[in-house]
Amino acid sequence: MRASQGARRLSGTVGRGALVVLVVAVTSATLMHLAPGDPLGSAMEGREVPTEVLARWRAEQGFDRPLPVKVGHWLWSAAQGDLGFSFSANRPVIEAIREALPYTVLLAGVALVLGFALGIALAFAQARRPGGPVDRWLGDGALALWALPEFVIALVLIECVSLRMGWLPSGGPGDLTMGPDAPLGVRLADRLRHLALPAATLAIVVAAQVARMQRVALIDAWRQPFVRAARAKGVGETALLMRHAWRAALGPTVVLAGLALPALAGGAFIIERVYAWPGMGSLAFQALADRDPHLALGCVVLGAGLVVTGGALADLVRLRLDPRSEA
Amino acid sequence: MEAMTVRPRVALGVLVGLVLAAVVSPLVLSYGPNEVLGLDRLRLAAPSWQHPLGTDENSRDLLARLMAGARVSLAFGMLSAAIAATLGTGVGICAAVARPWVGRLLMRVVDIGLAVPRLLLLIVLTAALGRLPWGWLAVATGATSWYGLARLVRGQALILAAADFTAAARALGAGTTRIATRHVLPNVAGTIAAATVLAFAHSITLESALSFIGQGVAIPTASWGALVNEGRAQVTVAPWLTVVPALAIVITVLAAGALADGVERGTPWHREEPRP
Repeated sequence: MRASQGARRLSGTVGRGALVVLVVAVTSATLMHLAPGDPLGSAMEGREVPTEVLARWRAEQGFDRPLPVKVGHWLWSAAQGDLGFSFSANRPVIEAIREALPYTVLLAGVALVLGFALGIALAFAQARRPGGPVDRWLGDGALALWALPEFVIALVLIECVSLRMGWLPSGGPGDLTMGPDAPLGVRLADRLRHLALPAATLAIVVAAQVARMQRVALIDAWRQPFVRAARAKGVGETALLMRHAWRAALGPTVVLAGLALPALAGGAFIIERVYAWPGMGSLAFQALADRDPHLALGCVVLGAGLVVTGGALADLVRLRLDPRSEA
Repeated sequence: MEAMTVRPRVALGVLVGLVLAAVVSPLVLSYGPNEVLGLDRLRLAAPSWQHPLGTDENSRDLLARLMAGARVSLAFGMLSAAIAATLGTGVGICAAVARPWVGRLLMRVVDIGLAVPRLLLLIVLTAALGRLPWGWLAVATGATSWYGLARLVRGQALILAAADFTAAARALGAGTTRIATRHVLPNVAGTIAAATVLAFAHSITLESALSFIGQGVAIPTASWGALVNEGRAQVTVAPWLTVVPALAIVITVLAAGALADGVERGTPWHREEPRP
């Protein structure tokens, strides 16, 4: 009985996720192809390309057919893993994404871990004595951090840490003069030095959100009868907070972790741009600047897929943590 | 206790003051936001009596540009927040009081909306339609930022629709529309107000971020994000060009956040230990 329920739930989640990605893909593809001109026209603007060659490329890409066929064609090849050709990057979209994705995963992963650690720590400090001076000061601090747009944080960090102090590089994925034959340790240290500022910026953004949400959840759990019962049993305050209240209060945070993905995709968009970090955000920006619909489409569909996956994973984890949170 | 009741009022005062300043400033200031005042003499001039916030690289008065930027940024935030609030409230309440399958359908739409990173969606829009004027960008922002609000409103509206007083109203013959507008809506109004103020803050941040990377308002239109971007190259020579508009963004968002906190605190949904 339980197992079949779990399986039904899982298949429902997967089905709904697939539906979401499909709707996003169809809508964006239709939008793209509705726009005047086609990717080829804008990419080849000002270049000497024979008309016959253009016509052949158009036929190859299916640009000369009616709208539903074009959208269907794109969907069919996308389902087979071919996201079309990026004329601005002059290579298949999937290749461009394959190159950019690891950078974003690295940046977002480090930022998520740092941000959640910092945010949860802040919430713990606040929840010990709700309404006390620590709570109020840290709460104001979290509010102030929340109010800082990520590009302002980035500008301040670049100006202070990088330009004034010269401690860390201000942008780029790594030292470009360093060859692939440099020792592994040196290359690793270089990558970390370049990662530090963008990851710190994103982590601050994440931490401010997590702190605000986790605090409310912790205070909520703190008042539950089972915490009082544990205290009456003689459990120490720290263990009470760590083992009893926190586990009950993790639900909203896990949901936030799933929801943080779209925010990170958006935030990383700005931050990757400011720090010249060659991830998905920079790729999407390139697609926008070069008016390259295929590339933009690939980025959006992949982004939606990531978000749906994140949400589903968060759902599963939450269920494991707290079996009461059905539906 | 005292501080909590004072702070939202100060925040509201700050916001109202900013809007008033933005609206009145063209009547008071002696320079236009795009007026080139003297390229050789007034390039990157430091703050003075004549130009309280200095001038930029093209010898334009920063105060005039800041106020023009305030008009764009604040109007952007208000327009998109209004759209988001209307759509979110409508869909949220509908999903709670209408037939169950309508509610499920609407929530599926919300799921889809939440799954699309908003910035990426705006990128697709811009890539497909070309550069949008900032008014339309605000509409697009508002039309893509109501999902969270709809979910929030639906959650509370569901509780209200099952409450005793709505059952009493229904027993007295009230229809679905009357229940929704007279019984459910007033009780979620506070939540909606708080969420709308937050949406205002988020839209302003989004617009400034887009303008900062050069994808928001078109040159030479001033918005706070565009001003930060313009001043960025001169940050060592003329830091005020970056610092002042950045502060304007932060102060506005901070005030909106404090106001939303205060409004939320006043609603019956606010759950937190009363302060000892």
